Amino acid sequence: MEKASGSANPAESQGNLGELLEEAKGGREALIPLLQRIQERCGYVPPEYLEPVAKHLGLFPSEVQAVVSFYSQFSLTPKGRHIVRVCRGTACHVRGGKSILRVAEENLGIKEGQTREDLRYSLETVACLGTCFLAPVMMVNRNYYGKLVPPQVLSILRQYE
Amino acid sequence: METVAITLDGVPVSGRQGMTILELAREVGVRIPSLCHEPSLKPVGACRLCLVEEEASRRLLASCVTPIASGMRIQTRSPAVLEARRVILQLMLANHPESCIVCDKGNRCQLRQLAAEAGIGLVDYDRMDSFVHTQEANPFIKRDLGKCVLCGKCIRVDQELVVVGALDYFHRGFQARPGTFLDRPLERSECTFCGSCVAVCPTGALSDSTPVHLGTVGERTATTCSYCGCGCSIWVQVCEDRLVRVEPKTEGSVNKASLCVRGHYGSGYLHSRDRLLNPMLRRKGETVTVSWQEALEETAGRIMEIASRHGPASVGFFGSTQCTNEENYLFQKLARLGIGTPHVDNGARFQGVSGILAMQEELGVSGATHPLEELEYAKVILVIGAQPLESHPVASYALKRAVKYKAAKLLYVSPLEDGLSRMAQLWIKGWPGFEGRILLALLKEVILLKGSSMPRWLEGKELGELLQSTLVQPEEVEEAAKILCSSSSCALVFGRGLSSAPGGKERVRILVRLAMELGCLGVAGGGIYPLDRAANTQGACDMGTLPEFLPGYRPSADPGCREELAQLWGKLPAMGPGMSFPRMLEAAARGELRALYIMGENPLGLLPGYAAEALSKLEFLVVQDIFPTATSSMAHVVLPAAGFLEKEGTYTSLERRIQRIRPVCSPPGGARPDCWILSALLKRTAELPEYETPAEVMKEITQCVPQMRGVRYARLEAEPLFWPCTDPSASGERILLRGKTHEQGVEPDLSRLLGMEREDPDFPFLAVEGESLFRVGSASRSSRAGRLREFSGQRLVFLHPIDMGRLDLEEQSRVRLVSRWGELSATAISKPEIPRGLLWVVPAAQGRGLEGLVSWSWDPDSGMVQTSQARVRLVRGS
Repeated sequence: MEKASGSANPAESQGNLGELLEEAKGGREALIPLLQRIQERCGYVPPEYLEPVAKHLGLFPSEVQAVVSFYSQFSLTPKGRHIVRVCRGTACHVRGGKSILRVAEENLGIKEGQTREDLRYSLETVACLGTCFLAPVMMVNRNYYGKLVPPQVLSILRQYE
Repeated sequence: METVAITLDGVPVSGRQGMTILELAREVGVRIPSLCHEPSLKPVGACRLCLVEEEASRRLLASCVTPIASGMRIQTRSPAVLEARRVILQLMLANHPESCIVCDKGNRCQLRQLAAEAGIGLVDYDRMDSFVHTQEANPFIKRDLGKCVLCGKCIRVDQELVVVGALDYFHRGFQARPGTFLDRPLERSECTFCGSCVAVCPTGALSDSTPVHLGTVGERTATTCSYCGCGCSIWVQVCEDRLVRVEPKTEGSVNKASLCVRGHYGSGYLHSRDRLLNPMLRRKGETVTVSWQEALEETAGRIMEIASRHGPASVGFFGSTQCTNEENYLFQKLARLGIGTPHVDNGARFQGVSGILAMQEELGVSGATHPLEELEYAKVILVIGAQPLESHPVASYALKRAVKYKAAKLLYVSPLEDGLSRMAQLWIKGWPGFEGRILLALLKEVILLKGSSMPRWLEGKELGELLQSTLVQPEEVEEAAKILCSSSSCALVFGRGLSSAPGGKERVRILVRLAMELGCLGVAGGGIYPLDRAANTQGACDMGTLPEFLPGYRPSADPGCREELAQLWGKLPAMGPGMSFPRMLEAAARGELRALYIMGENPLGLLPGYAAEALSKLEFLVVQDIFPTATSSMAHVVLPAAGFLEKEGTYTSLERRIQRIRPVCSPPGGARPDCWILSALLKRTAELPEYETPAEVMKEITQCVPQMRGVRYARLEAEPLFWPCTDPSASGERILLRGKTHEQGVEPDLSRLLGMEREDPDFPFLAVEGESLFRVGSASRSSRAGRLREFSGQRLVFLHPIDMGRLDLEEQSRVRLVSRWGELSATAISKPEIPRGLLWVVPAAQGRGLEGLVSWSWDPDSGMVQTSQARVRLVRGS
């Protein structure tokens, strides 16, 4: 199974920040690409990176935080190795998406938006995955699982160590 | 300018290209409601309440962000607009707490006003309350974000105007709210408690956490802040004769929608129980309360008796930088005409007098050469010997806006890391006290780069030699000079660190010379900005409350100028120059000066112990003040005066802006406006008819101060005036010295700049007093402003972590600074960026400064007493 994200240990990746900052040129417009690279490299945006990023781009730390907290693609807390996304779009809703979410929550022992303490899974909901013909849909990392019935959820999740 | 014609509610109107629909509507008097619009901030279209309908397309447009276009037909009150507005308001109310009855914003809440106008009562939607804890641990700002409507004004005022960046949006959707970095409480964020966000907040989300007085305010009065020399315009709201709230006055002001913590929260001292309420006399060691009649008779009688016995020159007068132009004018008239003594000085002697004298001598202009708003057009800004963030916050906002949003390059010369050092293109960490040498090195390098002729006194001086002991490297100066020479829109900013230290006058002269060399005088975006002045330091000096000058900077020793004044006064003013305040004290100590009249200053709170000794030798001391002070405790007569919200007059800010102050509450007890007291004394000494109003005094001022010939009270009602304002129809010149050519002035006395601070092995540290947002002068006011005092209760000392370690100090441990002459306790804080061996002392809102640690010494060139630096050793414990 492929890994969804890189190392989640900030201490290990601290050295990377300088490198990433080197590459980022410009002001505000360089912020999102830089955050994306950090997220990619660390699996999340470590809060201790916000100030150096702000300083480097000439922004206020609060401005950087505003961007990080606005976009769902960025997270300020470590994410699990596997990102489970349950679709809560209209098509999935009428075909039982709500039960899929409930079963996923029960099986993982976390609520939507949370990450398991062992950092194995993070559970998220999305407004639509764009595959309504497969409703109800769930995604794990980059893999789609469609036309789900609740009992399938556990066996799918188990495949991701 | 191209005009654009549109139709607004069926009426043809025209505006300028680029204007928004909302701006045009407000200009022509059509009201469009809005919660997120603020003229001094960039429009964002967040609240959608300003929707209007375009007739052709039937589209609803947010008028605050839609520019007018030719031929547009706009309806501001069509059924579709009204319905959309109602729905938006109802949605806002559906997650707004129903706590209006206990909300401090009350009837001032704009959301509530708009809902009432739209006739919205209870909302039919399901409520979606957002519960957020109220935060009010600091004494200034209460945040109750459950009431936030996400207009973003607090964020924009914080980032665009004040340039602090404490706030931005945090999260998104229903969770979104204005948040600090890492969601810390305000007191642990970058927030400076300027309160500008509270003033713009349309709802109760932000309010004052500890109001001075609760009450429903009917109306507000415009006046001028009395703390620093920026001259901010404020709205003052009063209820039951007590101050309730201060807010920034946006229109036509230097401060726009911003203020600082002092201006916003620092005026509560006026209602302190300490206020002097009745005139008092000291009789046989006892202090007795007397009537005004008796106090005035005693004051006039004793002073005249001493003057006739020992000559008028045995009497001295010391005026105030907190008192108005009118009061200072009358004060020096009382001295020069009533008593006939030339010895008159004012509190500027403790702050900016060397800057005023040097600029007056070199340029003929004692104030800033440009208005503060010109700072925003500067391309390069040099800040030396100044801490604008603390001393003149509103000027610092303009400076930061130039750097952050207009790409001005900042050169910051300061040993202390702060918000400006972080924004600086080049931060030069010079050892304090050596700013003069750094300037000299800069001047030399600039002359070399410009290829102009090197003055003889700079020839053969190497950079390394000039920079000896300054901790500054020649390369830094070379780089700084290159940046300075990159544009003639170059603003030079200095503060007390430059002008108040020994050799201050000489240092300012060098700065003026640098300005001339750079060609930045009379140029847009250029200029010299003296940030070393209090509310009316400029005005007090303009009025001639100085031993060197008669009103309007006419030399007090010049027979022609005296003669001219005599035509107005009917009698020759005393022959100058008189003694500066330190000279007066020394004369008092020798028994030559026998009587002294001090108005609105507390010299004993600012000077070393010698001053008390000198005052104790006086036969007669009069102190006129609003509070009992160390100085008033030695007085033979104490006259209770009115505070700045209790009297009428004008202040002149450091940018030469003349503004009204107005009475909004009555003075407590028997306290009286200084004008009234001085006028009564002039009647008793010079047998002059009493002045009825300060306006009458101003009329006289305009006759003897040429720069102010065109000033009239009636004109000041409408707009502020800048001096020189010689014509009753012009609003005064804003940028001075246009076409000023480069001049080779008098040779500066370099020995005053190059003098070395002697090392002393017993006292290895140099303690330097920094500026503080929460304190001004001798702290008579800030120590009684409850909220300032509560927040800034401790004197701090910043030092290098290695120095901390050597003394085995922990963070925040108590230490004592011990000098040969005294000691002071403080809380130690480590600062990695500070040079070793330096102690940067930040005074608290109350308590003393460094004056107790120094010996009596003053600069004969400027007459300023050295109190900002002391050689000390550091001892653990308090």
